[in-house]
Amino acid sequence: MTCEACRDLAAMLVLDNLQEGDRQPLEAHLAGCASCREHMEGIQEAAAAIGLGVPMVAPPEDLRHRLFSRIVEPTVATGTSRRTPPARVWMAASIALALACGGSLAAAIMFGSQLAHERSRNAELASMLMSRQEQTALLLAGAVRVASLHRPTTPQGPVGQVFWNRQRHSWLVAIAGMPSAPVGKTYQLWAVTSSAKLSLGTFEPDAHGDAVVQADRRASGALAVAVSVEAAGGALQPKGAIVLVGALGHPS
Amino acid sequence: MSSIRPGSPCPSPLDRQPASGGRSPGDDASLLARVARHDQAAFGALYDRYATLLYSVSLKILGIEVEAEENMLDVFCQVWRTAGTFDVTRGRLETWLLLITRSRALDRLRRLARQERVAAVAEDPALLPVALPDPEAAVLSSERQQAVIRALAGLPEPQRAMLELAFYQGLSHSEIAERTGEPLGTIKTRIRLGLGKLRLALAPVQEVEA
Repeated sequence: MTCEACRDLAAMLVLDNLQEGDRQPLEAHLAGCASCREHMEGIQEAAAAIGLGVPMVAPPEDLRHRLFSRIVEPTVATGTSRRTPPARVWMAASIALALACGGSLAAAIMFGSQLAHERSRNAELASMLMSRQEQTALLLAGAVRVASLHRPTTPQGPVGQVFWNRQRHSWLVAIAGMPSAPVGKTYQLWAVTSSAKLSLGTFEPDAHGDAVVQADRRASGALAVAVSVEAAGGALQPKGAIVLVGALGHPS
Repeated sequence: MSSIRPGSPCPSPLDRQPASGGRSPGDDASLLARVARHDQAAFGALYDRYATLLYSVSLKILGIEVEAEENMLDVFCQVWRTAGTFDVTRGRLETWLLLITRSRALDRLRRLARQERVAAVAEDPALLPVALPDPEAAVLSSERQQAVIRALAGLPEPQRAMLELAFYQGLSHSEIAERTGEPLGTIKTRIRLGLGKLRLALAPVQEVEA
């Protein structure tokens, strides 16, 4: 591979858009070409800076509050640290591997360029673990009310379970056997009180028809939970067909 | 776990911090160090500093407000958990945040496209990110942003369009060729030249910051 061909591909490597067939020859060239390695490091910031050219749109006012509700409440509930040592361990292992394999600076650069991706993967695993911890904490807490979700038209057996922790205003809903929402539609979860229907959020089942969703919302006096089919993005009030319902029982 | 959009805000434990006009690497480094120690005030300041930029990128890629909001929550939760893993000596915090945001948004876009929920958005030429950046917007943004907006506006339209297809839609050279009908070699050249000009445009700003 020539330096010119390498520099053609370097942008795609930085943006993680590289076609798989291009990766090996590019890595091989970078391993032996200090000039191209320097070039690649230089364009990384330029490539990311493309995002600075986007027209600025302010996020919704409540997003900041929602973010803090996500990061703060689990800390209180579990009393555990949010640090993720596995990410650091992985990074150290990557560097060690590069050195053990006799890798040059190029190998270290390649690991560096992949690091953001691996960090993202590690963060997802950490996020999953945290979610499980949150769910466990919610299920073990006192004053949890539960509801079985049924299809309103064919109420043979429950297809979902709702757990509502009234003290923490936390909701955990597990649903099985749901088909994908129609194109352009989404499922939306509602807490039903005597005077209002409060959105608990939208969701999509996975490929197996399963969905586990968690929401934080104060819904004092909730009597039931329902799932409706709404336009993609959700609705302020239920307008579409109700596909699941369940009455909230007494505290467990 | 399926995605969920919380129905209502929870009370924030923090008062809103005033947005910071500057984004010097030194400021970012100290802020991130505090976030790594789970300093919530620092996290709030970091959010205020970057939320508009990262939300704008999320919205540009995803095209749906709800999904952009979810992407933001994912990105900032990731930052909260992994701030200690970022080495400020290896690059700018802004670069890290932009790449995380872009990567997660593209992952989300691909998931949504598989579900055919936003297939129409992804394929609609009217929504392709080829709009000329508004130079007037630069007045309100940082010096670095101004440099990028000016540089993008000064690029030949095909170079800018292809850079943006690569960045906002995560397309490879071949995919861009398929999408635009242009020869592969032309696309490689345009992206390389466009990125080179962007790099040159940022160099003076980086020297000033350094």
